[in-house]
Amino acid sequence: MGTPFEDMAEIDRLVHEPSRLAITSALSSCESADFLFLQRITGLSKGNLSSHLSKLEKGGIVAISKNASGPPRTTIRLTPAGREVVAEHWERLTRLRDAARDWTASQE
Amino acid sequence: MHTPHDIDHLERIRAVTADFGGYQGLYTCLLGLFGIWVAFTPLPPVGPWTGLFPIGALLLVGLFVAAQRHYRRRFGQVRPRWTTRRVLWLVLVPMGLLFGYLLLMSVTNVLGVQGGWVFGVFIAICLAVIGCSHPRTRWHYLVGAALLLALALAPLGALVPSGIHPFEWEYPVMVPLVAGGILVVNGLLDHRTLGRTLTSVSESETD
Repeated sequence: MGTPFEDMAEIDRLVHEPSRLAITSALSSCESADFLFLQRITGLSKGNLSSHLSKLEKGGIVAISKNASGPPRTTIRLTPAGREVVAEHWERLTRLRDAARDWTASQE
Repeated sequence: MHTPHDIDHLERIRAVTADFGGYQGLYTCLLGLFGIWVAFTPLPPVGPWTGLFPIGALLLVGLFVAAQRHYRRRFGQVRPRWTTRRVLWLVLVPMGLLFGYLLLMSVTNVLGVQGGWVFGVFIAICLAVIGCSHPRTRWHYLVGAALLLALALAPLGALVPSGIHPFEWEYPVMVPLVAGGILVVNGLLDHRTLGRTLTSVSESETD
């Protein structure tokens, strides 16, 4: 845990991008979710969501699987390392929000 | 940098994802409709519309299947995470509520004050428990619980010609009717929260 400035400097850009933060925040609250659900959460088109998921997969944050039998369905889940990264990121965001609130209160 | 408003939205996303099944309010609506249906067509052998009960039950099963298909096609699927908190909510809390209801029935029976109001209080407590799971997004359950509790405990008997409280067993329609109505409203509000959190997909959205 550092100062708010250190927290801001240490923010993980891969996770912090708004759409990716929405994706990882949703995935941190469940075991796995399908592509349609994440599309609904973010409001992104299929192409854009695929692009964000590829970046997260390359960064080792999420794992993507497609079912071989039955109707085509893509399932996305956080990797154990990704879950840790997202949890840390949320802790940092919460600290920053609290610091911003304290700072605003002290100005009044 | 995300503003507190953004974080609030993300927290709503987390809440809805963590309890995705719970926010699929059409199921709660159907449960409420079942309550209303039970109120109007009491189980055999009483009630003038007893013969209609199986038809309504079948219709509700059909609507349940339709709601399931709607949610899967529109919002996708989520596999919940079995955290300790979730297990507590889904296993221990219902067991505790059931035990509490049996205890309340026994105590009121011994005191000679048992009546339909006990069931009203039980439903109100159940609604309050659901509301407490996510007070910010499910506050309407707390309102429903307060309303039902007020109706169950207020001396409403003085307002009707018979002098009997509308929640007493003499009026078997009232508790399932009121509880069913509250469940329908709460279900619709849950469904609205889900619809607002899971936005429509835009194919023209750019990176």
